[in-house]
Amino acid sequence: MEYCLTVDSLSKKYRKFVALNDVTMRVPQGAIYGLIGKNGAGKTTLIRIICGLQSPTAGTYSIYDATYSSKEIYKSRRRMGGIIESPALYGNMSAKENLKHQFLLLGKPSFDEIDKLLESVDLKDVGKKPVRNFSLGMRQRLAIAMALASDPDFVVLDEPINGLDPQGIVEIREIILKLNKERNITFLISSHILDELSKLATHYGFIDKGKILKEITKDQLEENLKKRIVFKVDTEEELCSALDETNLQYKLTSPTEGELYGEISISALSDILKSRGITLIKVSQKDETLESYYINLLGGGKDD
Amino acid sequence: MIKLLRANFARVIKSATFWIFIALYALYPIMVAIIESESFERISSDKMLSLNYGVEWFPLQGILIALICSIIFSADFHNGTLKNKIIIGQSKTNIYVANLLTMMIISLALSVIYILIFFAVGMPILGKFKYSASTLIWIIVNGSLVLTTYSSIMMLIVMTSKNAFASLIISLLVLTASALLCYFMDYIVSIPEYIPISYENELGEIFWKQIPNEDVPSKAVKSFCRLLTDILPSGQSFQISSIGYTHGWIMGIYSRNDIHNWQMALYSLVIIGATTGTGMAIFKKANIK
Repeated sequence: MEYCLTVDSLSKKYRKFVALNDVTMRVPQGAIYGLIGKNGAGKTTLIRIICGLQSPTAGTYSIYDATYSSKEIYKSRRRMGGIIESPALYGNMSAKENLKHQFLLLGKPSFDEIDKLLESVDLKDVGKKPVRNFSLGMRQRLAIAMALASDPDFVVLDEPINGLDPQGIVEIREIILKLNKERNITFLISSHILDELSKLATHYGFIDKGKILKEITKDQLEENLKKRIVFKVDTEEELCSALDETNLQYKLTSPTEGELYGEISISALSDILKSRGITLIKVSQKDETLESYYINLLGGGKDD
Repeated sequence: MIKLLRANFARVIKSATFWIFIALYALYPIMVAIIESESFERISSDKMLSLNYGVEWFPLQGILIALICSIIFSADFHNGTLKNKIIIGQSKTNIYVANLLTMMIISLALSVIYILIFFAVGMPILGKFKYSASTLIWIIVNGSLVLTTYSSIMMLIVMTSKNAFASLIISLLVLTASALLCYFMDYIVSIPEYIPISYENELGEIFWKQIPNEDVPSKAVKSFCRLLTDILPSGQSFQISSIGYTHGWIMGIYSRNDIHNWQMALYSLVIIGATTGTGMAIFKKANIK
C-alpha cells in the first residue's frame, strides 16, 4: 500500500508535559483518515508537526517518502494543503484577492482557476466583500479553496467543522467527499465530533494522551462494532442456561432484562427461550456506534 | 523566494497603510523645501539630502520603518497566514529573508522618492550641492545602510515577538533608548578639553583664557562613546543628518571630515548580518501559532 504520510515513534515534549508519546501512524493514499481524540489528546500538536509548524522532540515522519528533516520535504509539502486550527486569511482582502495571494505564493502562472475554485466551495457570488465580514462557514470554505489552490494530493484539516451550523457541516462534508472521490485527494481530518467523522472517514486513528491507541479501516471497524440484542423476558428462571445455549456473550441488566452480543436471529433466540419455558416480552437489535467503540477503547470513559 | 517576494509586494501595494506612508514621505521633502524657502538662513541642498536619513536626534526614519514592519508583517502572525506559507513548502529561512528584503526595498524606495522629490522641488529652491561627489555618495551609501539596518532590527523584533502591538512598542522603545544613548554618548564626546574663563586685570579690563577642563573624560572613554555613536544606527543617522550646513552656520558638531565613513558602513553590515542571523535562528525554532 502506498502511504502519503508515515509517522514513526514521534514524540513532542514541552518541558515536563508530554504532548505526543511515541506516535506511529500511516495515512494511505486516497484515504479520508479520521484522527479521533478528545480535546488535549494531541491531535492538533500532531497535525502542526506534520505541517511543519513545529518540530518533534523525537521520532520522524515522512510525506511522500521525504523525511521531515530532509530538503526534499519542502518539495513534498508543495503537494499538501491544509487548515490548522482556524481559517488563515487576510481579513481586509476579498475571497478572490486571498486566492490571488495564495496563487502568487504557489508561483502559479495565471489566476484563471480562481473562479472555478470559488465555485467549488460555493463562494462564486461573494464579490468584493472583505473576508472579515464573512460568516465562519464562508471563511472555512474559503480556507478549503486556499488549501486546494495548489492542486494538492494531500489535505490536512484540523477540526474543520468546529463552530459551523448544521448547513455548514453538510456543505463541508459534501466538498470533502466530492474531492476525495473525483480528484482522489487524501484527507487527514482531526475531529472530536465522531458522528460527523463516521460519515466521512475510510480510516481511523484513535489518539489519547499523546498516544495512538489504534488504527483501523472503516471495514475493520464495522466488523469490530459489536451487534447488540436488548431483551426482556417474563421470568428469570433458567434464563442463564438458555443464554448459555446461544454461545454468545451476554450481560444481565436486571433479573429479567439483558443484552446479548453477537448475531442471532430473533426467532432462534425466541425458540431457545421457549424450550426452557421463558417468554420473550420485548426485543430490539442495536449496533455499537463509533462513539461507544471509542469510549470502550479509552476504557469506558473513566479518564474523562 | 521569488514567489514569496511577489506575494509580499502584491500585498504591500494593496495595503492602504503603505500608500499613506508613501504620501507622508513624499510630502516631507516638499514641506522642508517650502519651510526653508521662507527662511533667511536656509539650509543647503547637501543638508536637505542628508535629512533623508535622519532628523538629527529624532529617529524619524526608524519610526516609519517600525510602523510599516509592525503593521504589514505582523499581520501574517495575527491572521495565521504565515501557516499557509509553511504548509505549502516554504522554509522559515526563506520567509524571513523574503520579509527582510521586502522591508529593505520599501525603506530604500521611500528614500528614493525623497531624493526624486528633492531634485524636483528642493534643489531649485536651495541651490546646487556644495560638497564633493564622494561626500554626497558617502551620505547616500551610509544613509541607505542606516535604513537597511533599521529594517533588519525591526524585522528581528517583528519576527520574534510575533505580535503587532508588542513589536511596535518594543521597536519604539529600542529606538528611543538608542537615540537617548547616542545623545548621551555625543554629549560626552563633545566635552571640551579646555574651557574658556574670563578674568579681570588691575585696570578692570576683561580677558579670556583657556584652562584645562577638570570634568573632561579620559581619551579611552571618549573613544568608546564615539565608537558607540558610530556603531548604533541612531548615532549614524544623527551624524549623517548633521553634516550639512545652514548658510553661514555650521550645523551640528560633525563636519564632513569627522565622519568615519567606511567604519560606519562596516558596522552597519555587521549589525545587518548579526540581527538577520539571530532573527532567523530564533524564527526557525519558533512554534508558529
